[in-house]
Amino acid sequence: MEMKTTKLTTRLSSIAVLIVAALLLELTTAMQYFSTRTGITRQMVEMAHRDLSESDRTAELKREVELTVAQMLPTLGRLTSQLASDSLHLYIDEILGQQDEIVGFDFCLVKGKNGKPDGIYIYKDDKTGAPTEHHIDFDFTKRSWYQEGIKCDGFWSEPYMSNYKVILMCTYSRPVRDAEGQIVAILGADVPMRDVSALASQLFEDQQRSLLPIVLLHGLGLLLLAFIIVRSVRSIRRLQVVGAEKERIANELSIASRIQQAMLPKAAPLPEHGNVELSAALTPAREVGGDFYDFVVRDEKLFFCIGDVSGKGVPAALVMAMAISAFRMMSEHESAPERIIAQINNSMARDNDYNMFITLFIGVLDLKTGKLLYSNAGHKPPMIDKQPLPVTPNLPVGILPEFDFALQETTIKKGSTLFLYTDGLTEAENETHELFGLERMQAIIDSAVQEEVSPEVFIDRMTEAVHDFVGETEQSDDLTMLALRYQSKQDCTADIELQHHLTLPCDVAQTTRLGEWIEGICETASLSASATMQINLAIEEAVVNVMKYAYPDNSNGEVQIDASIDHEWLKFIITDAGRPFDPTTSDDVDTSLSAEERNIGGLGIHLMRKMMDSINYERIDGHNVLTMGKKIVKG
Amino acid sequence: MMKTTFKEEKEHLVMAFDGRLDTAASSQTEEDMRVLYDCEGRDIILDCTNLQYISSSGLRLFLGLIKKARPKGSHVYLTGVSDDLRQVLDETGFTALFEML
Repeated sequence: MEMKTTKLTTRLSSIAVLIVAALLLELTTAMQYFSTRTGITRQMVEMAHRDLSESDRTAELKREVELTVAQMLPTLGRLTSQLASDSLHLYIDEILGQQDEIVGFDFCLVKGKNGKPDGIYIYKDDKTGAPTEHHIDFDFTKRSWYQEGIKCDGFWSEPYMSNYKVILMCTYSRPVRDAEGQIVAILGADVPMRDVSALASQLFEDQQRSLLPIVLLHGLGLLLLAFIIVRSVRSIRRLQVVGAEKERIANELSIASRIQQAMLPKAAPLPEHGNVELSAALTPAREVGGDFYDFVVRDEKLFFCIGDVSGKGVPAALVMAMAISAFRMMSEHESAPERIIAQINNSMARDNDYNMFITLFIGVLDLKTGKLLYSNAGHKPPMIDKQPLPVTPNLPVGILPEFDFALQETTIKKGSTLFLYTDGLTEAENETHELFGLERMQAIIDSAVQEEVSPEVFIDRMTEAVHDFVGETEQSDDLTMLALRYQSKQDCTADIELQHHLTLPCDVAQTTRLGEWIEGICETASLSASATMQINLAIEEAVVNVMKYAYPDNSNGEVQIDASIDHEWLKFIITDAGRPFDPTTSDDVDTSLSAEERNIGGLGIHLMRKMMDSINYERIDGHNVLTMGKKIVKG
Repeated sequence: MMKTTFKEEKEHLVMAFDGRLDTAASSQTEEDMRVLYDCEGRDIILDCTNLQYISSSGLRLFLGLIKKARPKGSHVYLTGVSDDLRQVLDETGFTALFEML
């Protein structure tokens, strides 16, 4: 959630920056446009006004200048022929003084002192207005007023930028001729284009005025651009880092997924226990999930469970791992499903800061009798053939410590199928958000039960039906199913070759009789000395346990021991009427401890398990019934 | 039936077991083994050559002896252990507790 918020703010601020940038750009352009536009419009209007009056004025000015020059020519021609340089200068000065429009005269001799063109420029000083003389120090022969001036009688040059003043200038030039009509010099009158110059400087000033804000705006825009670029580079870098991080997480998740799948038991047939077939399937919605199932066979009982941790993904997977290992550990010592659930519940509810919970169903099926003990912690009722199994809902695991989970019991008939599932099945959605639902599930179950299909086919059919229903829609929840079919073992009474019985009073000293009795049976069954010793040890431990724990007050109780031999098994059934005592739930001894750490005790059940091939406890009609078997290997 | 023979030598104490050390025999055998508690740092050898059978009650006696003798600086050795006996000792982790001769 937090990550989501951060992402949103980052995105919002990026959008804000872009909007500001776009606005600035628009503003700059608009300002430039409007300032130029208003400036030009104003000038255009002024010029239009002026033009009407000034076209006359310009013509008048032109005539005046042409006239002045024309009047000057005869005098200049004469003075040039007389080489009366001073008088000539004075004459030009005088004329210049009388003129307002002409700011200066160019007077250039075609043949000067060196026989080359030589010129002066006489102009009015800006401040004093006094005529000032200046030798023309650039090559004026290239200028149009000179070149054209020689050729024709009176030439107006194009306006040009004056060499001496920041002003646009036009020059009117005419050749000066001597008495013989020979061209001796060129006279140019410089007329400033005052109006045009004013327009230019006005435009320049306007531009200067609007320049500062525009420059500022441009600067701001550039800063913003730099900011955006830096940000982009940074986020690209971050994206690369995020990409690498993402890849790492994906990698770890795929490993986690494999580990989680490996935690589940392989739903292979249970070869040692031919009277039950089992198949299971788990499909997580993401790489890892919170669904689980497990099964384990101990002491001729099948312990199985199905669970669904609240939530999905990694958090659910962590709790799932805890739950499945707790189930496995506890089912090693504990045979009562409600007590297994209670222990998982207590250990989980104690520090459940994140309020995770598990719906869990645990069943313990006696493979010999078909008796099913079960306890349910808020899980969906499993189906027994076509009907739901009656279950007390209790509470999901992890909610209330010390909760008392109800134990329920039923007997599974031969050939019946028990089907367990998580809500990922009934709540599987198709593209129109329709749920798979109980009815569709029921239909598959009905036909599968009718056809008496194996658990494997059962699960396959259900999986196929869900896939067909869901189509391409993404799986929204973990989906888990477990099916088991109970086939009670064939009646073996016919095969029993021998039956023996022994009754012992509750007195440890009497166990000597037990040894002799067992040796006799083992001899009949042609067992090796080693096997005999092992059986002897196991049965003795079991009987001594009964005397110690089922009859703790050393009462007048009796221990009944029945032995039967068939072609495969040597079986002992030890029955007593003492207080309930289940040796298979006692803690196993830790054989790796040192002598100092070892407790005296717990060795008995350890030896019973090690020495025998099967062990099974039941409490029937107020009796403890312990059955132990040893596979016969003839010695 | 269980018969024990005790021999006190200069360097060590030896107890030989003959018969079945089952629960029925364990209380008498426990009494017989008390003499070993006075080991005073001398090593103890338990001769199992003729020990046909041992149950968890018997193993408890052996464990009790180790707990008594070790703090006194004595070692407890087993000798003459048969394969079947060895299996029981292995299964219960007792092999690691004793030193075998």
